[in-house]
Amino acid sequence: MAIETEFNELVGEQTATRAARQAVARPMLRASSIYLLVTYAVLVVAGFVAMVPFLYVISTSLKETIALFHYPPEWIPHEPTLVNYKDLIREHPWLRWTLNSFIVAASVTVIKVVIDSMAGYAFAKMRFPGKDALFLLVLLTLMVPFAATLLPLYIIVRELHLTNNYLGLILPPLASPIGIFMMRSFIESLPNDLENAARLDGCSELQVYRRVILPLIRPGLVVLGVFTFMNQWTSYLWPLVIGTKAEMFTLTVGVQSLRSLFTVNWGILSAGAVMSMLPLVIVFIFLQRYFIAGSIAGALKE
Amino acid sequence: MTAYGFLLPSAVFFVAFLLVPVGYLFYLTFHNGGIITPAEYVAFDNWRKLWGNDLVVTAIKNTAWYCLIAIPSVFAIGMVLALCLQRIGRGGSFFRSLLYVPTLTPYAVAALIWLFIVQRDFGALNMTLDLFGFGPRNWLGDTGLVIPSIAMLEVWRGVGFWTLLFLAALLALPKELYQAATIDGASAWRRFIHITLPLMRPTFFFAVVMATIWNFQLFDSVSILTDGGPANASVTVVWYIYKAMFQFNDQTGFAAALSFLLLLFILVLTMVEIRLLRRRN
Amino acid sequence: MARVEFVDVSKRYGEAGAVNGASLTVEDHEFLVLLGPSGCGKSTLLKMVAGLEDVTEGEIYIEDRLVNYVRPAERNVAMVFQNYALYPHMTVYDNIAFPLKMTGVPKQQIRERTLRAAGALGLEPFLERRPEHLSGGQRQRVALGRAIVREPAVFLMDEPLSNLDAQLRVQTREELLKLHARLQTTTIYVTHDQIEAMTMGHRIVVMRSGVIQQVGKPQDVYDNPVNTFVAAFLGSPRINLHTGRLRAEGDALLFANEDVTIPLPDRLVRQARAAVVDGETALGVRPEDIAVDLNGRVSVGESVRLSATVALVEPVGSDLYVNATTGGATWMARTDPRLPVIPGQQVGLVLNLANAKLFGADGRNLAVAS
Repeated sequence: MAIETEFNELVGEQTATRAARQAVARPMLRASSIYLLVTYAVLVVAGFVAMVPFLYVISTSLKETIALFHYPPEWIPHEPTLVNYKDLIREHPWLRWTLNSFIVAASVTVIKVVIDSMAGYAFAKMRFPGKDALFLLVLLTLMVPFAATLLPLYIIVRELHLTNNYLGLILPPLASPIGIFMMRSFIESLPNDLENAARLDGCSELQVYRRVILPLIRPGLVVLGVFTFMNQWTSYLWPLVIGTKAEMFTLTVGVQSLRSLFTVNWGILSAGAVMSMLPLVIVFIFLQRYFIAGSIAGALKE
Repeated sequence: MTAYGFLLPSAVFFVAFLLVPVGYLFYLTFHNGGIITPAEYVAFDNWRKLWGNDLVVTAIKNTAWYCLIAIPSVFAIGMVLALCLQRIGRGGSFFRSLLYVPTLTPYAVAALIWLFIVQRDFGALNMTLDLFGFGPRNWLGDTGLVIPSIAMLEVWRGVGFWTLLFLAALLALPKELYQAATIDGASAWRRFIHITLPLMRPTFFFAVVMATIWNFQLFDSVSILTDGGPANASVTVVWYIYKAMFQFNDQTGFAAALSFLLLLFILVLTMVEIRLLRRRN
Repeated sequence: MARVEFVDVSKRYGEAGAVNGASLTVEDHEFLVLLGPSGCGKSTLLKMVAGLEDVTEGEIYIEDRLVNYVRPAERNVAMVFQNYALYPHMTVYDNIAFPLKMTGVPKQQIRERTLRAAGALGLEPFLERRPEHLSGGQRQRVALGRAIVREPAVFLMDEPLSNLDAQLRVQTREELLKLHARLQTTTIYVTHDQIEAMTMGHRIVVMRSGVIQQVGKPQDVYDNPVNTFVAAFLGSPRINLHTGRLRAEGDALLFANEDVTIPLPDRLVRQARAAVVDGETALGVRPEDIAVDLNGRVSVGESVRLSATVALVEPVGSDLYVNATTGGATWMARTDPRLPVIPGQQVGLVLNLANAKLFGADGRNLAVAS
């Protein structure tokens, strides 16, 4: 009996405090739901602004060039047409440009992931004379602007007869040490005892790297891979300088070349813009997580 | 010793396409020619030319003006959006992706897309202004408007990136501090002023230096949208290097000197950045 | 002959010395424990045997072979790490089989030996699991499995139990001892836990600041610590150590400081002859050698009685720790858990000096020094 009353009292007490708490909480709840509404409104507007230029270019690409100058303007084409896309592919080596971009970006990515993870492993886990000095060099050159070395690089690559050549597009970007820095941070976070165990278990240094380190930093490799691929895919200045023949253009250079006629064909240009967006957006949809991590890791380099 | 083996592959490319070019660049600053004719020693001629060159001053001014517009705007908007995303938590992934898509766009393509926005006759911006009864403006053809117009492009393209960067930093802040402050009776606004901002300060410093390094290399959009015009109102440092190299006659040595100047400037910023990084670790 | 021999081994990082002139022989089949506080160099010594740290000076022999420049994998040793260092991307089976694969053991044998090792440790149900899906105890056993599967000459264990909860630790301790009894593999075991050291080691090696202090059977080290450090490091609660001076009074020799005066028994008097009378000394009495006397009835042969005030009482179930003060000096006594004693109470402390230790000014045990 005593226990029961005690229990009731306890529950009664609890309900009372809960009610009191709710009484206080209610106006707060209303305020916070207004905040939430504002938050969503801001995000919706921002998202809309982010998308509008794409939508407008897509809409333009579906119009005859003549319709561009109609008044009042057509936000949504009255008679959508694919003629611009047909012209783009018929009159320009569009597929070749896309292929070039892909070959360059993919090659740079694969090579970079391999060599940077190796160097990152050395910097993260090994002891060797000159390590600190070499790493300082890596740090100092982390940000060397591509534009600054453009002139000497161009002369060197031309002397090597690599202009209008895939190698000329692929090799110079491999010099950037950002990947080494990223890989070093990833590998540093692995416990030392893991490699020690592998060494005791009979691994050579190369085997430690291949059988223990590499599988464990796979997320880091994907991040570096996406980061590198994206940088190459969007690269403009170097391909512009190095490629003079239309069939060696990358997508970014190719799409600009659509403009270097006397009269700009706005329709084809808009179709080109859409088509050069498309591949990366498709990849993005599948690898969102890594894209975001990759670009942020590239900035923070941690 | 195996360590050197692991370093070798990257070292080859690093030396051939970074260290050697930097050294060669230094050499070229004291020479002229090199692209078409063999390089010829001219001592400090190139540096002297750099000193008294009005277009260099214009280029630096324009680039700085561009950074001054673009970076604060992109940071302010990015921070607001990051706070919004943090607030809605998990449901934010859709917005996150939406905001990020412009960042995916290659600069060169983003500039093209921008062309359709700011184009005078059928650009979306003028058409929208028209809806509200404002007359059209020549966004890229007006010396006062051209840099802000290009900066707007950077805001559109870059805001998603900075939003996500700030969001990552916000999410990494220790939650206990907020809980403690809430228990101590701090309002949301006070928590923002007294906890969030001070804790985010290192991130902001870092981001400002980073953004300056990147934006100072402005080239793609200028080259595509205006090619330095109108009346040199959008000439930037890298654009000038490129033009001096390939399109103005006999200016390779001058281009080298200008490149080297850019290199030194960015090196100084990099050292600031390294110091910030060290302090943070 | 899986003997491990250290000849004057030193390790320095730059200027700082991690191990200084360690000489030691680990006998075949022996279970040797390296004991000491963190940073004393015990793990460094172990890693030097494994080949994970270079030897700065001196020589290490395994099975009578100089191994200073032999690669870790070729030293015929296996190691269990504190955090187990299991490969997260491999299953339990692959973890255990990995050293065999790496050392080129034929395929058929790999399977056989892996299954045998897993069986011996009761790991069969988990062979296809990844380490992240195992409990702490299971992980620990996988780490052990990876070590025993190689059938090495020497096991090296670096605090293998410190990440387990108390109950599991005791259980695993017993299993390790059984395993050693069965395999008879020479084992060097590093720990900072004196209970582990006392219960497991055939001999223990106490280290401090990179220097070996004492090597011996656990009970010997406990009973005859060479210095105050070893005396204080072994035993819980800690030994009561008080500094004072020796004073001759007729035939008797007295240990005295401002709080207490204690006449020394013959045994200690003989030892003290070796030391300078009137020099600084320290008297050590273990808590179990102090009885708390409530009514003046306790009296043993060589005992001394002090009157004290109880400051603190800590019951731990099996015992009662009584913390009492005589003037400024504090004494810890370990007594019958049901002794009715409360803080503030005046009691007698009866010190049984039969096992008391006397240390010289340099901290060395006078009994051992003479």
